[in-house]
Amino acid sequence: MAVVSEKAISQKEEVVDKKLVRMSLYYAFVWLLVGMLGGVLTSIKFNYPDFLGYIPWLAFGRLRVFHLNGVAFGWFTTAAFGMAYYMVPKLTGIKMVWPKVSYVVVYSWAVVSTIGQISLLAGYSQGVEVGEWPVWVDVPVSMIFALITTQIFFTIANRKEKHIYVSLWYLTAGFTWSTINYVLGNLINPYFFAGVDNAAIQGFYLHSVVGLWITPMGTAMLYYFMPVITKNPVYSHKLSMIGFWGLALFYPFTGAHHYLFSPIDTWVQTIAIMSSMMLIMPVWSVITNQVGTMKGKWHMLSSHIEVKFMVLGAVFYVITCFQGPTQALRSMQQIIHFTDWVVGHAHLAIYGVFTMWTWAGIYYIWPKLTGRQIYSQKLSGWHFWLSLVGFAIMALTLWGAGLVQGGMLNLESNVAFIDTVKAISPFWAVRTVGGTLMMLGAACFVYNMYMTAKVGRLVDEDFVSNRQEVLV
Amino acid sequence: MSNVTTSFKGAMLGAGVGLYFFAFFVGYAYPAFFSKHDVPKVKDYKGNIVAVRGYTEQEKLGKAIYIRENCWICHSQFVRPIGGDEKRYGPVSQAGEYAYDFPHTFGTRRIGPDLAREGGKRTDGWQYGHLANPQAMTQGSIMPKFVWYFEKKEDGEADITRPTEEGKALISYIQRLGTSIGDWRNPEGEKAAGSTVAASAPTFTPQMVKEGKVVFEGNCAGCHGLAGNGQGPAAAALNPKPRNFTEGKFKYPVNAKDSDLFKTLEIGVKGSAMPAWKDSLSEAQRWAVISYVRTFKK
Repeated sequence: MAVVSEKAISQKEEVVDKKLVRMSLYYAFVWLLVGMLGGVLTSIKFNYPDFLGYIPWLAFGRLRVFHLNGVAFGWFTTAAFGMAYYMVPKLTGIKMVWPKVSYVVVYSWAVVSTIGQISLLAGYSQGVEVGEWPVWVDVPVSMIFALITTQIFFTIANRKEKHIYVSLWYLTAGFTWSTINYVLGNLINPYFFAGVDNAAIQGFYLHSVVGLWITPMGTAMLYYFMPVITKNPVYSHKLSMIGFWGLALFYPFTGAHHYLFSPIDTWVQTIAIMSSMMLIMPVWSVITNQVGTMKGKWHMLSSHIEVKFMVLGAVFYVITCFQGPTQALRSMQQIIHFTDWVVGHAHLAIYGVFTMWTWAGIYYIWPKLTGRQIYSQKLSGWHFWLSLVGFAIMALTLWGAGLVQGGMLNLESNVAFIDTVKAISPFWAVRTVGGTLMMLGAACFVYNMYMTAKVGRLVDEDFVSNRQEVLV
Repeated sequence: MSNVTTSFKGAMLGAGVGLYFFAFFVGYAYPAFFSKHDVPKVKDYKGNIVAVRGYTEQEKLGKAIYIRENCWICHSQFVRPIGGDEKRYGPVSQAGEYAYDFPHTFGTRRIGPDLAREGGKRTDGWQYGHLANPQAMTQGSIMPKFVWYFEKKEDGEADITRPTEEGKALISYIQRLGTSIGDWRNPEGEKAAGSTVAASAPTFTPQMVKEGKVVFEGNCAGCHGLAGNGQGPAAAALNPKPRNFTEGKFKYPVNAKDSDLFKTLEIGVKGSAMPAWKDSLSEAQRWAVISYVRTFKK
């Protein structure tokens, strides 16, 4: 099996543009905090609708989409760009082609995504779920996606390392899918397909953002960092390929499960349910690989913060992908659809799994990018436990609220809608507490990274030899 | 670099992207072109196929505001044929009703109730009062106060009798929702919906009055006022005005029996902002609130 030895490469030349990756991640940190703050503020409005007064820019609907786009595109996508600029050179053995284009991508993404976010508060939502940025933001976003995708393709074409590792599969496919998907969902669908067809394709777009952008990026990170951190070879390459093809085959069909029992063709809905069930396959192949690769290295859980986040993310991934397929079933949808249950599920995937894996990767590469060791292990610990406890509180209350409201609305008769709101209002209050803890955890993380870059202990020989990146 | 393996890998990646298009064409583009969802025709509540009319300019503006404020985050727009949906909101949604929607506003979460059949449920006046101050109409509502769709009074408060053009447009859009199937709430040639059996009033107890006070303050005070004098926060926008209970007079019959009031609660008052309460208040709650309303008479 092919071997990429970082040491072997780095002695010859440094392939990663560290400044570029650092910049991208710093910008992601800003949106991690601002995006999560948007979430907490929105959450407070559930219990105190008059909170923040009657300012149109801070109205519930606007803050709510500000939160979603802030974390999905501001935080995760920016971090994924940075990670791609780290992983692609490492895995191909060469620098990115057209180095200046990388800066064009990172700078223009920073500007465009900020404009997108502000335009949401200003009231220019496009009305496309998970694609609310207005059309004049969507055009440059599509161009940036196309640019970085092309750049990755040409880098891979010129690669020194012959073997294409599974992370590269996920990266190239994820970028290609997302470029097409973004154009389809934001520029074509809202203007050319009406009503029911529009809804079906929008479900397809929405779930492809999760399944064909966030999932492949997160999985690419997991497959990259898991072997280099544990220094174990990936348990099974074949399994990783089965996972990849399973994802490619089943994920795009699932979109219509967001609109079950709607006027969308029943057979489309049924295919969506079936392929949602089949997603167990690619997910569990990733998990099997993760557990297999950890073999003999479980002791690292107690000492390595990146392993903690990686394993925690994997645990949440198991739950996500058991929950997802079962909740796509019609009998389950009848109760939990339209409730907070689904909101909990969305957070489980985006926050519980992929954000955790991104953090694991950042903890690992940050010393390499800055030449300094992580500033404070204590803060890392706070980050981990605040995130875990905060998220556990939030997820459990959302699922509880979903079952209570769904049960009242669909299983009982003569219940006024407002009574279901009153019934789950205490859940919302607890959810705000959980969300605040999550945000505090993220703040610990960002502060820790900032201080690392500024005053962290310099990386020494021991540290370097301990952290060679070897993909076996 | 161009060797057999590379081109094979390239082909494989092409296949990966191809799977995306495969799913798109099978599951989404094919039905979009062949299922005729975009034909603006629906079955009305009587079973006839009728044409759906396009949006007026005002309704278009209203929909744009609906999207600007992301109303669809909290209000879905399709009635499912399951659960409590039909009973709570009305007839199941049909594909043709959405034929003019670019983009659609189905929504995926009901933080508030579904709006697919909201049109005609309340009067415009009620909607204005509610838009400016939802908590006055429904105690415990968490909907924001959209005061920026109203002109300001001298004291800076929103004047619910003077909505802006955008506010009017938004309500005109809401009033149009779900009306393509005809006036299903008031079927032609049939007796008004409601129970045919005359309900007989139970004996009122102090306990019932107490319960009725809670129901009244939660659901009725927005229009009828806490004091029952018809001067609630939303009253200014309503025509006809809400009933003043302190006079103890009721329009029909003038000396209404409790069972008449019960019926009013059940089916609402046509042409006024008084909605039907049969799906949101239980029978016991309705009797309780009547017992409380009776206490206002001086």
